[in-house]
Amino acid sequence: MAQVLVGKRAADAVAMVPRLFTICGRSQGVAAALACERATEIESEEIVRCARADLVDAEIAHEYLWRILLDWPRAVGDAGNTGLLAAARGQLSEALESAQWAMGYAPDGTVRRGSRWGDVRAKLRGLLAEDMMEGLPAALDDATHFNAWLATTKSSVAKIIARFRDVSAEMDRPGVPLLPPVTPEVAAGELARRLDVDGEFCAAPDWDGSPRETGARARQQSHPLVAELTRSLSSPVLPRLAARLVELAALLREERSARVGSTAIRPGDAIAWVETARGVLIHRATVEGERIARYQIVAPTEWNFHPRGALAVELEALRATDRGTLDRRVDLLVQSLDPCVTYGVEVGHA
Amino acid sequence: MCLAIPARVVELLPGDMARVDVGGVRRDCSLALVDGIGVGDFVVLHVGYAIQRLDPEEADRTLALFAEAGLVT
Repeated sequence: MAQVLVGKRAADAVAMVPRLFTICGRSQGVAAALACERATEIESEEIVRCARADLVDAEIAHEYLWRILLDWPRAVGDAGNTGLLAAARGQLSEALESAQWAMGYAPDGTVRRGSRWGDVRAKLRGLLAEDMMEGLPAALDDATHFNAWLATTKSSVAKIIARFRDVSAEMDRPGVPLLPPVTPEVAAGELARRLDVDGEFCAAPDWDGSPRETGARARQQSHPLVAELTRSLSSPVLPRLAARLVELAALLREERSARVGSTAIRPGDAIAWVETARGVLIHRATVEGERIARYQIVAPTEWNFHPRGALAVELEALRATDRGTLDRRVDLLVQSLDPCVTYGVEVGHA
Repeated sequence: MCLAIPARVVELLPGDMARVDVGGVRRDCSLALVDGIGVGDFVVLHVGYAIQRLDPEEADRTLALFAEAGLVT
């Protein structure tokens, strides 16, 4: 898909990118703007950086609420809460629209206006307080509080997560190493080298010779709850869910979480990265004159769903004595890694 | 990655559902997450849900891009 951008003016390419992707359009758009601006030596102002961070944060909140209110319940046989998700989406769309002006290449400062993400966060906390977030964020302090919350709270989310915990308790712990954070040094060094010489890197990335897991669990690996669950449990499924709850709770408190960056590799050539709901999204833009000469995208799904990646090795380790149990475990595993597209499961008999 | 190929609503169905045309392929989707969608509107789909309405000009521009990439005809 990135090939369609080659030959376009950088400003046009940045405008096109968000239209190409459904649920991560803002993150993709911000990554494209950062890569192209860095390649053409444009430094964005603080107000632009803040509005873009709000867009990325609001998009992450949207994705997490979709998982928590629809996908996780369905993976354990419940209906989900479409009404609450629709209400939350109404709020989130206000925040996204208010910061939309910051999406393009070198956005025009005369149209800037304040982002509504702060107000929307407060409204979301009220909307989600009773049914979903009861007991949070205190329950996310450590495993003792978390397990007590799972056992006693009225929160619908806790009941769903408790079922994930029960099913995943029977699953093994193979996993792949976690992807370290992208830094300017890593991007300008090893990442740039791989993008230059490895034709397979965008479609099947690995790091230090091994496929890696990206996403909330990798980002929150040092968080006390996530670290403790990872150490003590036989499967990474529950730590992945807990890491998303940690990030959602932080997003809904006033904490800034967006992690974005960019760095020049050489004149006219730059890499940008955005931590999205599913993990790190990498864009690399090479601009000659005003036009895109090369464009590369490494999406988070390519790490987690790599042919030898987290999903593959954990699927291989799944054992079940009957088809129903196997299907349930596969659904939990896939949902814990969060593919960005519809998936289906076919079982062959060896 | 999750490509946002515009889908045109061709029929409203019971139960807040719609039949849409995506690059010549018909499929059904839920309208539970967007309000006020009618026949002829363009929407973006995600896992069986319409999640965003597109204005017709934006849909045309996006469809042209996907055609350029060889993903729709």
